[in-house]
Amino acid sequence: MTFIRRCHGGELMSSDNSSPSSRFALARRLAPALALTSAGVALINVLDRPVDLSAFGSAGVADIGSAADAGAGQMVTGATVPAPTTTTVTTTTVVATTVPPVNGAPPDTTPAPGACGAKKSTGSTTDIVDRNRVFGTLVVTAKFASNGELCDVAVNFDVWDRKSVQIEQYALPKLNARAKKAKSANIQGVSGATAVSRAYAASLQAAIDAKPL
Amino acid sequence: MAPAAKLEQRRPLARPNSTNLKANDLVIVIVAIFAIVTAAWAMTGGWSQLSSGWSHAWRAAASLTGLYTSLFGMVGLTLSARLKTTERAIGLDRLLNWHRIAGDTMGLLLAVHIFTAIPAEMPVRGGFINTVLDFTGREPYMALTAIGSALVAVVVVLSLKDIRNKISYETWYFVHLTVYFGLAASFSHQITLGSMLSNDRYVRLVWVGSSVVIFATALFGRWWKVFGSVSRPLHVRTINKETDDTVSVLLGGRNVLRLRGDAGQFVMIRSLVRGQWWKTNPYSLSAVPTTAGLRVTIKNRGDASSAKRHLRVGDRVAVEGPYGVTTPEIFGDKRPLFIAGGVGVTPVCALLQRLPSDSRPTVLLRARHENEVAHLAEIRALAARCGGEVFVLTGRTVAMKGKDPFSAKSLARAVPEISSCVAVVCGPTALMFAARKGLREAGLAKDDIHTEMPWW
Repeated sequence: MTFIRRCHGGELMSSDNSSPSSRFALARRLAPALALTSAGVALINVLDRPVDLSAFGSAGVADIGSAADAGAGQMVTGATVPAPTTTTVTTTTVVATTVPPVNGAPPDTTPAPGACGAKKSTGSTTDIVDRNRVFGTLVVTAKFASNGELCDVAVNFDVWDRKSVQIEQYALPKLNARAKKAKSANIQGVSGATAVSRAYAASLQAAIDAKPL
Repeated sequence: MAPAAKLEQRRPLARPNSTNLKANDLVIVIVAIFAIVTAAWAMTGGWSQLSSGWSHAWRAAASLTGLYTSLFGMVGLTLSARLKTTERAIGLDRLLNWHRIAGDTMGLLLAVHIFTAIPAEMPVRGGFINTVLDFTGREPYMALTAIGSALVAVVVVLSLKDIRNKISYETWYFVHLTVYFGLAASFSHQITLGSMLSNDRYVRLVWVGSSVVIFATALFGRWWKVFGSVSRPLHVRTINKETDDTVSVLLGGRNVLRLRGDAGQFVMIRSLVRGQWWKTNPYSLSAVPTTAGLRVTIKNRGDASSAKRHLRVGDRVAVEGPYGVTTPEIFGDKRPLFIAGGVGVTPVCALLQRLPSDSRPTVLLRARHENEVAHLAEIRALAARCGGEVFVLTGRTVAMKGKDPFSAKSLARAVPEISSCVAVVCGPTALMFAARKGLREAGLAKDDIHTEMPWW
């Protein structure tokens, strides 16, 4: 088959060395396009496996940084996503409750006096919002030592898309670590996660403000 | 020639609408759209991201190239819609040439977009493999996008000149049409992942709105014309043998009154007969279009020519157009100069009919033999009517022993005041290039040389 470039003076646009009057001429020329399209549609059906967001614990809740060991916050996730490469973060099983395990021990409603978590306070549920777009919500639970000092932070978040889940999992351990170090809500945000940093600070401030005496 | 004499008694068709739009205006509009989008990207953080670390720079680059990719897609779509205004401004051949450039650029930017988006997302998605898996299906809408852009890439690659020339035009064309699917499929990820679009409701509204409008314009603008031409076909009135291998065909009928056209334009013809209805071919009008019909002159290439073998008097023929901007207005009050080779004489023949009697045109025809020139007697008569001259340069090019018939010197010898002419060149590609080069060297301005090169 040849394609002859022509002037619009009238030379033919296309010509075929093979017989043009063949009954299958159209079918032969349509075949590649149809094959391409149907292969595309089939591949889309095969490939399109968006990760179900309900796989992220209950409605994407992950409980982050609840352990008391200094510098060894625990990140809890039920996702198939690999954990961000923060060495201080270890991945354990899903705990979709607001009561975090302490030192790996079963949850204890009456922690020993003097230990971290003697007092607890939950901040406001805050929208993670950037300009006009809401990505989800988060709520910070702050724990205080008996002297009233902020000693540990846990976060629950509920976001609506996979990318946000990944950003949250990346940023929240850092924010937890920073909050524990600063012992206040006055912390530096994580770059690339401005919206969640802002929401985190707001919710943490609310938790500190609501600190039980 | 009897048909021409008969045609001149008929009333010419309405002329095509004129437009004040110039090629430059279209370029300005396109550049302005790009500038607005770039500004929006810079203001929504793209600019500052560029200078705040590698991963941010990758992300900013990915979003900018993504925006440009779809802008070029939209520009290409709009051009191929063959909107009346744009077609009147630059002509179908340039419209489709621009379409090709837009498509090539889009393909290039698509590659850049993909290879900047991957490193941008690798830190948060946990490595290369995970990012690729996310981008080909784990992220919502990304399977659609991956396949859509693969289709776009196939179409772009197949349109590269060397590859396209290896496959039959229709095969290429049908594959080309899958680009509608490709573009539509890759649209949704712009909203779900594009941070600039997902973050701002109003930006999103404008973007989605204009995309929908452009897509609809391309689909309906293009295919509505095809539908119209098929549902209101012309009929083959007469077929005359002009030379051994050319015939002139008069397409007439009631529906011809719906068309507007002028000498120098061309039409896309689709014979509505079995086995031919899915092919279109462009033909120049070889006479001023009148109420009697459009006359086209068709060359039978020994092999699979459709004209003689398939067209019979009475056959229905769908006609799109007339298209093209080489109408008699281009001459203004300058002297016309025509250079034509082979069957390229057809628009010359039509244009001569519309020249005023004091225009003194010069016609240079190139052919192997005088009796291979279609409408030669007609051209001689028409040129004589308005005080012009016709030169026929015959013989094989190889026999000319390196004497270029279209060098500036030979052209200047044949045409005394050549630099004050307006030239129309039509013929095989080699002739067009040679003639254009010679004319430029002889001192003609670029705007005074009119060629139509259908390179789509």
